[in-house]
Amino acid sequence: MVVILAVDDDVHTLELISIFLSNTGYRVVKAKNGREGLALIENELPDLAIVDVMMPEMDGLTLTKIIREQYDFPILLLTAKGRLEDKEKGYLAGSDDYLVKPFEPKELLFRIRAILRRYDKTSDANIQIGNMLINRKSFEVQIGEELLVLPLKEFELLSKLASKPNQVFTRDQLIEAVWGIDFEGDEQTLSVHIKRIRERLVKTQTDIQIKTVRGMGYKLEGMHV
Amino acid sequence: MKTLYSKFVWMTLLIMFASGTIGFMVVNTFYHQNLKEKNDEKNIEVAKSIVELIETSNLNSFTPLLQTIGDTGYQIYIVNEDGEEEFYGGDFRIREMNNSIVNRVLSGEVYHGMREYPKETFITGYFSNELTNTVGVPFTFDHKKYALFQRPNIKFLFNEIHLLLGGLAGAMIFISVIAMLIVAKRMIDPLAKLTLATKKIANEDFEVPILVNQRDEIGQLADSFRNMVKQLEASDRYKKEFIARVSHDFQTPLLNIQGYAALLENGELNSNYAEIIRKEAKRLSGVMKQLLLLTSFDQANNRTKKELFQLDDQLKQVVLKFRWLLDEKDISIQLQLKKVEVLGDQEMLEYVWENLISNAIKYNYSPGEIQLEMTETMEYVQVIIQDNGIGNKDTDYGQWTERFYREDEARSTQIEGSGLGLAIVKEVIQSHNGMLSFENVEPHGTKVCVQLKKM
Repeated sequence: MVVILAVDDDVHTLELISIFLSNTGYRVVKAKNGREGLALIENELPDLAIVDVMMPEMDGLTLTKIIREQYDFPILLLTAKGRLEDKEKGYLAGSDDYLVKPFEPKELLFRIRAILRRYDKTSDANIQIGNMLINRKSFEVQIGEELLVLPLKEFELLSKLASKPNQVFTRDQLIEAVWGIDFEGDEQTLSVHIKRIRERLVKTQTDIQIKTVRGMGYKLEGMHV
Repeated sequence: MKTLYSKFVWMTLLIMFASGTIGFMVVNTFYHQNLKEKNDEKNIEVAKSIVELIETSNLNSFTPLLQTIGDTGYQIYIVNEDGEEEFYGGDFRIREMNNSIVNRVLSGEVYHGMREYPKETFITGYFSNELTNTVGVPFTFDHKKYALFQRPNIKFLFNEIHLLLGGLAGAMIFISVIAMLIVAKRMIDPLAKLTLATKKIANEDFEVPILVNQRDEIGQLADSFRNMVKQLEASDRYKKEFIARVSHDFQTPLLNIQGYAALLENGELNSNYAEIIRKEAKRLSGVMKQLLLLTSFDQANNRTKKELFQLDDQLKQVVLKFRWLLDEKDISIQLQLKKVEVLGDQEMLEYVWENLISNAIKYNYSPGEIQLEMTETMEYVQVIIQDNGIGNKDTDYGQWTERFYREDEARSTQIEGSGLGLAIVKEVIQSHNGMLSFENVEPHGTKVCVQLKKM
């Protein structure tokens, strides 16, 4: 289970973060300031820390610096100040991402997932097929001069297909890879996503296509592949 | 209260006193070092000629002669070998005289009392009316040895000059003080006017005339003061308009939040209520953020801090910021970026892209598409943000950027927004000497085009 350390001096904010993250399936360890947070790290060994910038005793930037020096897990800074220089300070201190209050809980979840993914050393490196470069760390698809930012599920579907070009993936294989084993939706979902990717790719400069293989599944094809 | 006036008077008097004292000391030193000896010689000549007169004139008594000489302005002391003393002319302040000196003169020596007179800091030897501060010469009369000591009667000789000098000094002091007061008044008057003006301004009365027309530093102060008043007035006016305009936009969501929260408190569990509260709170926060930004623009002075930066990097960063929303709405975004540096206010321009891209997401279908394209010419860089969303039937594009403009109420209440975003975008782009245009796209969607100068 992924453990997340949340550090914020506002009790309500802390509770709110904790509730949202717990509901999503993370285990949350709460701390009211930097000192407390640092003490908890020893025992809990979190996978990620969410740290508020303005706190008494030890502020978020200091805590971030200390964590950077002594540990190896990502940090997401929370702040009420959205100014450019504050962001710079945050990145200089060594934070991995930065979120301005008030934020949507969904945005927080998205960022957490993205950071964890980036830190996950098992996830594959880039995939290059023809003029298409799939960056699995930043979730971007570079096609020649163009940059294509896809919704996450579509991105994962494309990168799964691209991992072995010309090879046919069955529908079940794809669903399991993208949605997980306990996916409750129907096969229609997969078709819809495939259709969307196709529509988006058509508008770009690539010759790479997703081919339907009747009775089997899908495969990725291109002139230069 | 210590006024500047009294300070000026005191300073004047102090300066005069100090310069008088220093001047006196300088003159005194000069007297002791240069004049004393000459004065001594001169007076010995006088004494010798008196003595010569007495010795060669065959007088029965020298008393009438010495009395006359005394009356013309000398102080004379006579003593003979028998110790008989006589004084003529003006009196000495201190009559003490060492016997040995008298004896030496009686035995034929000349006494240089003026030359030998001890040097003291605060007493001018020239003026000290003492018996020792004389010159002495011997003479013989009626077979008896005499000693004659004399010094000029300063009081007698210089009485009028003393008065004149005293009067001169007094008049100088008096006139200086008066003149200083007049000068001080001329300098202080504008300050007093400015003080009065600050008090009025503190009470939000900006109609104060500042009647100071000088070309010196105080004039400059008055000028910058007038300038400040103008700016204060402008920002005050803006503040009031702003509050009036905005209070409505704050009150409405607050009212909704209070109302629906009360419903929830009463146990009416309807998940719609919670959603309304959440949306209204978000609306409030949005209005707040945008108004703050807008205020910084409305300051009379545009304080944008422009710097060179990579526009493509910024655009990419902003897009990444919206990834979660794009994901939520299943919107893909296709970027065609070019490495371009522009000179501008990073923070403000970031706001522009944030606003335009969030609009493209907000007013889009799910799933939807957004295209972001950069083109450049020698002088300009153009950023085109095109969505295939719901578009806006209102083709009066100028109106879109009016403050608090919201498209057709019924439809737009479904979408969160304050109606300030585009107004700010327009102002930012104008402050960068850029251009902003809108276009409806067929069959549906909106195309926004921003043109910025590269340097």
